[in-house]
Amino acid sequence: MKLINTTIRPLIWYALFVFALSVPAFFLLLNSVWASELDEYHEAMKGRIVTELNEMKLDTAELHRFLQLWSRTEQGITIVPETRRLKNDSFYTKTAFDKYYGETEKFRGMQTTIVLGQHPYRLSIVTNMEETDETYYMVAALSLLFFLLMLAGFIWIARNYSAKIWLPFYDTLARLRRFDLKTNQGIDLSPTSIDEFKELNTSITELTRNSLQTYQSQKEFTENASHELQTPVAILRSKIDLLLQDDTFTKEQTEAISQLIQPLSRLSHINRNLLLVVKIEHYQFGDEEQVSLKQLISAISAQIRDYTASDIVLSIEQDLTLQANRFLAETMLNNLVGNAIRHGGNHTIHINLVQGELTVSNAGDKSLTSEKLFKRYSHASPDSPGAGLGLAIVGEICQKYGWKPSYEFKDGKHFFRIKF
Amino acid sequence: MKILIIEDEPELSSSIIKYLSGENYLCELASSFAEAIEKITLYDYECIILDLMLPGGDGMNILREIRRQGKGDGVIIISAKGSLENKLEGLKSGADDYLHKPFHLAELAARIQSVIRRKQFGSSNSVQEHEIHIDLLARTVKVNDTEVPLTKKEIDLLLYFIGNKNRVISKNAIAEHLSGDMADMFDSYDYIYAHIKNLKKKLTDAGCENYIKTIYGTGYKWEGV
Repeated sequence: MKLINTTIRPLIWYALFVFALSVPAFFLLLNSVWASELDEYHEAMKGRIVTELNEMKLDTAELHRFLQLWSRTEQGITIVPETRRLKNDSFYTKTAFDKYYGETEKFRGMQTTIVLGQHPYRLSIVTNMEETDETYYMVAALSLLFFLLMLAGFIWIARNYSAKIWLPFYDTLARLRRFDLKTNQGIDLSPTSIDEFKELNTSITELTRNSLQTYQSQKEFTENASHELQTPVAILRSKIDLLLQDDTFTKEQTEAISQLIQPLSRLSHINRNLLLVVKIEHYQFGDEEQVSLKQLISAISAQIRDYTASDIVLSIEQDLTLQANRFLAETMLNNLVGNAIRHGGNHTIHINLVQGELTVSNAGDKSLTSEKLFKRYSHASPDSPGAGLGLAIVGEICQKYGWKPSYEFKDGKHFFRIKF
Repeated sequence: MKILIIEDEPELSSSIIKYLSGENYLCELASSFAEAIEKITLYDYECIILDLMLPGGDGMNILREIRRQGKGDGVIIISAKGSLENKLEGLKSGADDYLHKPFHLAELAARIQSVIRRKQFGSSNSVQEHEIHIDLLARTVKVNDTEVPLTKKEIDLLLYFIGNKNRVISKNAIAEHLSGDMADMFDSYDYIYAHIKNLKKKLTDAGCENYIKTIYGTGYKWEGV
């Protein structure tokens, strides 16, 4: 959800809440004002009726005749003889059917006892409150209108004003997104007058500077570590090369010395591969280009055929062009094929490229532990003499480009697949 | 022929000097940046072996200084930095070759010879070894004027042996020479055996004496005067 929407949303909810509250509040208020106005009016009417009728000084029969007539003509006012006096005046609201309006209406009424001549009479006055309904509608409509006006205002303010306020934030966000460790360039944020954004920018600048430093020092460390390790290996290797020239050694001694060469070679190979893994992890292979997988497979298999007795059979259905670093693509393929040759025991190696999937397969005795296969330092098989890095590098390269490596053992064959 | 070895690791430089001195090379050593600058300014060398990480400065600057002074000395960089970028940077800055550590002394010797040959003979580049004549430009090999049909790899191997006359070369060194970084991929050295067998056979078939001796369990040796 957009930041601006997040800020407007609670405001809108609150406005809706206030609006919802305001409608019954207006209703109740108007109702009570209206009722009390009517009560006052009834009170005044009572006074007038009592005064006027008493001044007329009618006898009981005349009075009763008059009251009867009046009740017929004056809807809402009835005066009937009463035997006992009511203590208090009573006011009430009721709904009833108004036959003249032809609908159910709301009425406000008063009941009281008046004295005409010497006798008590019950006076009840009822007035139609019909106008109140319309007033309620008007008030509700007006409230709604203001509510909508407020809503439109909120959105307009958020869109225009808030967007302006958040501009430095979005700017920072955009720059942060463009930030790239590999370029070794710090982040340059534009100045802002808002304290929180200033703080944010300071923190981001600090954070990126630290990351850059860490990245650089790690990069240097791995490079230096590789250098430091290769140098003693280089010395050992040169000493062994010299020892081989010494013809005073016995045959056994010379053979023993020769046997040092291969482990030493493996040591420097592991060292180089470790450096490669770290470099891939550190995104040090940025240059990407269009790499034709078909050409790559043909070139590598042609090269490898010189060095192995294994038969390499290619089956390429359709070429696939990868957007990747050429060196990494080569390394991945080399490692897969090299792996097959090393463990394939002079059997045929198949390289297939079918429907965007590369498969390298070779014969084998038993399945390897598949879940750990593409992880670093994992020995897939106890018989494997490798350093467990070849497939780890394949795994790293696949991860970098979002390719999916998988392994399967079927019908006495290892299948290594890469889904592009 | 004078060779300057610029390397701060005394054990490594002494091995290189010892290996090379058997042939008619005169090796000098510079173990720091300042010493190297002094020597390249004062003297001329057929070939300079240059380590990049030196006390007192970056070896790359020595290379630039050699080229700035307009000297034609052949330069082979030896560095622990084995990445492609490092290699390209070195070659772009005027190095003739780039060898990453650890290397076999035989490999270094072969490369020195190749660099010197290129510097000395220019375009008419050929090697005469007993009855064998190699035309490097045309990539042809003749034994007593009879052409021997050798593959590119076999010529390469032949030159490698000639560059390391009377030295025992381990199978690992040959494997690395032939297949470069790919050597790591294979456990067996069978393919070397096949290549050498073919080379030997083709040469002897053409009437060449067999100079390649097998040193049991270790490797091979080119025996010749």
